[in-house]
Amino acid sequence: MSMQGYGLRNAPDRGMMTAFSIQPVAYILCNPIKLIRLTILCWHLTAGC
Amino acid sequence: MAPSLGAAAIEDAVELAKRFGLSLQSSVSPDSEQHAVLSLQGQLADREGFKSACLTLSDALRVDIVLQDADTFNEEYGLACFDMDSTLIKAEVIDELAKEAGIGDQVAAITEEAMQGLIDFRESFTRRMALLNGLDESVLEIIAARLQLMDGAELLFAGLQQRGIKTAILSGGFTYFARMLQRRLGIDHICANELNVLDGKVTGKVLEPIVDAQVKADTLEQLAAELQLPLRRVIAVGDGANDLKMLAKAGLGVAFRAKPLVRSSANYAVSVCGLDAILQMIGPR
Repeated sequence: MSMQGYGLRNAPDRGMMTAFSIQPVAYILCNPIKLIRLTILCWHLTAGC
Repeated sequence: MAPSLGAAAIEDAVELAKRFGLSLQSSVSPDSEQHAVLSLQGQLADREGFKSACLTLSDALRVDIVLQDADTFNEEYGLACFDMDSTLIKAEVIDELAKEAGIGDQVAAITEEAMQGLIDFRESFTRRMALLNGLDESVLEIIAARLQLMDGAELLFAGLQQRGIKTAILSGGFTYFARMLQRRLGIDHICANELNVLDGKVTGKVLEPIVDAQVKADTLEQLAAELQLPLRRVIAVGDGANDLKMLAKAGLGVAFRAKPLVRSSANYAVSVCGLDAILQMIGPR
């Protein structure tokens, strides 16, 4: 079974976006488009530096 | 002068992310020049490659760049386990003891080999302890008085306690110093090696069980089980090869100012900032 159309479904409780497209459901569940967090920290974050 | 987190650094990171198929969703700098968070979206096919490229860029920019899945950041952590020597304090205590015994270079060389993973921790520990035979017990107090906390340690522990996260020292070092830190930082549990002292002298004898990599990892699991926490809700922080097993067990395993092997093997690394940087990885809860 396939789904028509293409889009992104937000799943805020799991912190990720789930893609759905015309591909089988099982494939989609195994390949979520993840939200990646890239944190850049400068060294004088630490008090005293 | 301290480097600041300029726009160029953020642009470099965004460009790098794009090369790995990620697109920028949002970028925030909550405290201007010290900390920026990029939310990226996409399917990361080469996670190891991206992680490695982030480490290289970190070195070039003299900042820490931490790659996390959004759900790791949002996790409700309940336990944080720490190595002690060169993680919570700015020294390897066994090296300090050896300096007092006049055999500093000999022992430091063995410590370094062990931390790099070149020799087994148990073997190195036994060899170093044997060299300390006859050291006067009074030296312990002298060393304890001069030990310095790691940068950001007090801020980190205040933040962890505010979030209700239990804390533990899991150390291949000695209980004498772990207890001192426990009092100073309000740490909940300690697991470390007992220093055998007889008639006021260190015997150099090893008391089993030695707290090695396996014992650290097992203790982390045991503490998590006691607190009824899945391992994904556990933080582990360490710098040496004997921390790798516990770092791998924890949901957030952070190599802190670690040796190259440990830094590249762990899922997360902080090498430039102090320990308080970890608070930026665990959310405000």
